[in-house]
Parts: sequence; structure tokens; C-alpha cells
Amino acid sequence: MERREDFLRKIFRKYYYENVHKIQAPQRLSEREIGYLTFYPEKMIRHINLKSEGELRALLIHEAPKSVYYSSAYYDDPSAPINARIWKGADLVFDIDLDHLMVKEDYMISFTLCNSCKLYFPKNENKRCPACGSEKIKVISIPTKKGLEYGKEEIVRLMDILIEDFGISKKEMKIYFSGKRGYHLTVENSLYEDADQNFRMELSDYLTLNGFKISNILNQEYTLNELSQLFPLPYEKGWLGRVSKSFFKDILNDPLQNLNENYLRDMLQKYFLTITRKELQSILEKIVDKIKIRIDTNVTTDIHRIFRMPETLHGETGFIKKEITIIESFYPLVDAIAFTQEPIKVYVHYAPKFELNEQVFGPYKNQEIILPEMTAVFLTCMGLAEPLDCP
Amino acid sequence: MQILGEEDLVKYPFLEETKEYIAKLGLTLNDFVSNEFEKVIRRCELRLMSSRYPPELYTLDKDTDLLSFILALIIIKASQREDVFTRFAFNEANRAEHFLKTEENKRVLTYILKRLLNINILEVDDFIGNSHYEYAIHVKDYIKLSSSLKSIHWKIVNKIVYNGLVYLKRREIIRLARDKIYQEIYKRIKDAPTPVVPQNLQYLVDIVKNRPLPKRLAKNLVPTVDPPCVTQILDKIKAGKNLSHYERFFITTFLLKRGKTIDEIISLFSFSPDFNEKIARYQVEHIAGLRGGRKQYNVPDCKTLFSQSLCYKNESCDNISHPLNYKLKKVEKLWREEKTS
Repeated sequence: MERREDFLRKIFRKYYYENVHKIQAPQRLSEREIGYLTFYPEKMIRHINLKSEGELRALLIHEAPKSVYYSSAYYDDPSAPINARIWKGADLVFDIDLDHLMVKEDYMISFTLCNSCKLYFPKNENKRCPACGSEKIKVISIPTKKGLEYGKEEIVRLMDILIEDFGISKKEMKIYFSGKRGYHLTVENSLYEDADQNFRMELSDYLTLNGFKISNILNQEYTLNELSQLFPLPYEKGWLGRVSKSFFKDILNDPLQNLNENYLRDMLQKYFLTITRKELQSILEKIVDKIKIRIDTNVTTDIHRIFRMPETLHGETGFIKKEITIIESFYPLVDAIAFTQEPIKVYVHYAPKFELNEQVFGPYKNQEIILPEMTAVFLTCMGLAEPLDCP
Repeated sequence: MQILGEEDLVKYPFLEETKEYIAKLGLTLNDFVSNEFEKVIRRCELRLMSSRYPPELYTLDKDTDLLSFILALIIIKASQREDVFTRFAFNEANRAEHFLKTEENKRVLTYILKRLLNINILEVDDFIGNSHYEYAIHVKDYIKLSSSLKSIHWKIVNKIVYNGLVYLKRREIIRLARDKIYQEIYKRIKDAPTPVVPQNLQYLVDIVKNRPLPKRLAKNLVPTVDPPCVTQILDKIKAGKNLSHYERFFITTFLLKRGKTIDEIISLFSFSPDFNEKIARYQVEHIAGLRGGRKQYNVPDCKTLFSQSLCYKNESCDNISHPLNYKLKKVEKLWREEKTS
């Protein structure tokens, strides 16, 4: 076995051994497909059926997998080949990943690895390695605290829509830090469990405002003056109310303390005198782009997908996929850390300056260094470091 | 509680109540041969022959109208002409839509809608802008009922969704009902056993059998035209750009359906910079149903492509709901233009 994989497997096993009592099986475990990825050789084992929490815990300690997955779907026989099992339903799952958000520079630290000459270099525009000119380059991204905080805001907006528009209760929802760059929201035991792929596609188009017609608001049949009397108001149901809210807040700079209809309509009427229809159209398009929920639609629409199991380790970061109970006080780069402060000696190929557990590390380049276990595991999982000590 | 009157059964002859009523009459197909049913036969002929008859032309008397509907179902089934199953269901659904639109009694309308759609329907009274929302149905029911409607107007993103309910205007829920009526009537004909029609009524079956066939175009007239979603991907391939997983899946299913061979498709993919013949072959063969689950995949429809952001709809698409229909529509149009010029 390779040194790196050997190191990680041992340390993952230690984690599972010490924390096995904390790992709770997902509900209706025996109806779900379980799969896991081994460290070396890296191989995906799928179509496993586990009957109990005990079996799951035993698997984690025995195999110490790189990653563990469970299906969002429920099957009559999860171990049968995919075409031979009966699909009974699936949780609704939403994935908010920093990759899909409006990526700002400080949301993620990104740099590039050349697969040909193993050179690490800052992200550049020309998509080639500056040393050997190879195009086989890979962008590596480390989320920042700021980026992860932004992701939380998106999750909260998503929750609000699921509650208000789809009548899903808070009790039916669970939120997780995914263990890498984002968050998962799952809805279990709801009325929507048996929803087919078509429904899930419509739902994800609804959330991402894909196909939303601006003419729902800006009807060509009316003049702007008439529209000021028909324009949706902030307290209206669904997306129309949300578009209106953003319009009053961000465009008219109104704090929305007075919701009197005459007051609001007056404001609209005055403002509409100052703009053209085309300008209003473009303002509304920008609002729609701003307020849509940036979920990964492939995740929501796939009714056979497998997801990382809660409370297990992410093989590419060493973080825990952690359930979030109070989102305001949850900080992934603190609360999802699995490993300790014990010193470990590693060789770091490359690492930018980054933050972990409120400590700042890096930058490092081609150097031997003693780091806390949590940091050493993180860099090793990311493929940026090699362990020199073995636990 | 009796909500429906006799005239309602005449307007909506596909309701369960009609079946009960007809069953009580205790008739068999052979009874229709007798002279006393002449009016029924005439009425049935009208139903069978007209491709679109004015809805006013409906009422002689209750029995005549209901029996002619049932008889028409039987005759059409006996003709075994599937295109007429569709045409007939469509006409009857349009006729019912006309009555629903002009229904003055909201209680009757709501009752019929509930019976037809077989779901829970809430009456609401909401004004947003200048739209009046009179009904609300569960979003799951709504998506099922609207799945065959192509326009993005029907997507829930363009509807008022609140607390699990979709709010609908009167004409919108009636439009959903029309679709459901169409499906029910079509299914009723399709699922029925093929009847043995008495000799004296055989001429009715012949009327249906002799109806002109829908326009089918000779194959050699068909130019090779691809819908914009396909052109977009083919251009990308030719420009040497990599395709996303779904683009690859879509173009493979599409080309296979168009009769391209696996080797032809693979050689097309060989333009891609990330081309790997072994992987490409496996994927194409998998989609063709030669590997893995042995399932041959269908070409995704326009709705799915739209959700995957792969729809590049333009005027030429002409309201098709499936990329494979593109060629047909386009050719029909060219053909019509040629005919008129």
C-alpha cells in the first residue's frame, strides 16, 4: 500500500474506532443502498445492504473507507442490480456548493497543479502549466470561512422557500456541512418522498428560476403607469413577492416598514416615470439572477444518487460531514474537524495560506514541517502533502 | 346529493355517472340495429365523421346523445385506427372544454373538475396584479396534470406556489381538465376489447376506416435538418470542444435513434480533445443497451433538455415537445408552404 493511503487509512480507522458511538445510521438504513470507496487500490464498492446500525459501525471500523455513501432512494432490495430493484421513493436532496455560487475571489483559495510535471502554481488564465506547457492541469480549491458563511445564507434562503412555498416543515429537513465545499439539505419522510424525476426537475427549475418569464410581472399589454398598479407587492405569495421585496429594498431603497398598498403603489408610480420599459426589464432580470437559489440541479433531479453518509469522514479533506442544528453558530472550519492537535511531521509540496480551527497555516512550498494532526490530515487528503511520521 | 343535472351528463358524457346510466338501460350492441335507434346512429355518424364539430351540435335528447357517444367509442375501437382514437379523444375533450368554460354554476364546475381530475381542489379567491386565482391544487398533482403541456407558461416557476399549493385561474384549471379528458377517453378506447360489430352497423366502422390518413410524408422528401439543440452540440464537437456528460448522453441517444451506427458516433466524438476510444465506446454501447443494464436509453424530451440548460429553442422549433419531432414538423411546414405557393 502507498505510504499516503496507509497513513490516511490508519488515521481514519482510529477516528472511527474512537467515535463509533457517535455514528448514527440514516433512518430506514436497510432500505437504502450503501457504498464505499477504499483507499488502496481506490475502488468503489456498491450495492451493499446493511440491516442495522451495528453492521454499519462494524463496516466503518473494519474497512476504514476513504468515503462512505448512502442512497437518498429507498429500494425493496438495495443490494440487487439497479434495474432489478423496485424504487420506493427518495428523500429530496439539495446541494449548495461554493462552485455553483457567485464565486468571488475570497470565497475560495484556488491554485493549480500540473499533472505532468507536478508543479503547483497560482491559478492563471491561459490554462497551461507555466513550466512545461502541459494542458493537463487541475484546479484545487480550498474554501474560506467567508465563502462557507455565504453558503450558509444560501441554505437559509432555500429553507425559507421550501417551508413557505412547498409547505415542508422544519422537522422534515436536515442540513449538513458536506465535508468539503458546501452544504446538503435533505427532506425525509415528507409528502414529496414518492416524487418522480419530472417533479424534481420542475422543483429545481423553480428554485433556480430557470424559465421564469419576466412577462409575469412586466406584461406587454399595459403601460408602465398601469403596471405600477399591477406590480406584485412584497407580501405577495411565492417568487412574485420575493422579486417585489428585492425591488423595493435594493432598487427603491425602501426598508419595507410601511406595507400600506397606497404607499407602495405611489412609490412605484413615481419611479416608473423615471425609467423606460427596457430599463425596468433589465432591472428585473438582474433581480431574478440575484435572488435565484444556486443549487446543483443534477443532485436534486437524480433519483438514484448516492450521498456521503452523515458523521463520516470526507476522503478529500478529512472533515466530517456534519449535521447542523443551529446554523448561525455552526462554523465548518471549526465544528467539522475530526482530528487532533497532536504534532505530525509531513512534507508539504505546496499550500497557500489558509485557516483551520481558527489557526492560520501556510504558505508552504516543498518543505518538511511539523503540523497538528488535523492540518496534516487535511493537506494529505488534498494531495498536497506526504506523511513522514506514521501513527 | 344530486349536483349534476341531465344536461350535465350530455355535456360530459365520459363521466362515471354516464356509465351507470347506460348500464341501467341494459342494451347490447345488437339492439342498435333496430329503427328506434336511428337518431342515435345519425348522431354517432356526426361524432365519427367530423374532425371538429361545433359544440352546440350536441343535444337532441339525453339518451341519443349519451348512447351515440358510447356507440362511437365502440365503432372507433372496431376500426383499430389509432390515429382516430387520438383525434376523437381530442375532439371530445375540446367540446367538453367549451362547456366547462361557459359553466355558470361554480358549484357544478368545481364538482366536475374534482370528478374529472380525481384530486383535491380548493376554491380560493385571490387577486394578484389583475389576475384572479380561483382554484388551488397540490403542487404534486399539478405537475402530474401539466406534464404534457409544453409551454413554459405551465412550469411551476411561472405559477404562484404557496404552502404546497399551485394557484390557478379558472381557464388554467379547465385547460388541465381538457388534457385529462383527452387522456381518459383515449385510454378508454385503447384498453377496451375489440368488439364484434353487427353486420348492419359495419358501415359505421367503414366510415372510420375510410377516413383519410394523416399526412405522412415520403421519406425521400425529408431533408436532413437538426433541431437547434443538436446543431449546438454538433458545432461544439466540430470546434473541438469537450462535451458535458449530459450533452454526450443526449447526442448519443439522438444519433442512435436517427440510425447512426456506434462506430459513426464514436468517430464523431474523436474530435473531442478528451477523447478516449475505450471509454467512448463503452459509453455509447451502454446507451445503446449493449452493455451494463442492457437498457436502451430514450432520447430526452424538450422539457428535460430545458432543465439541463441544453434547450436552444427558436422559432423553427414550432412548439415541438421532443427533438425527434423537429424534422417532421419542419418538413410538414415546408410541404405546406410548397403547396400554397
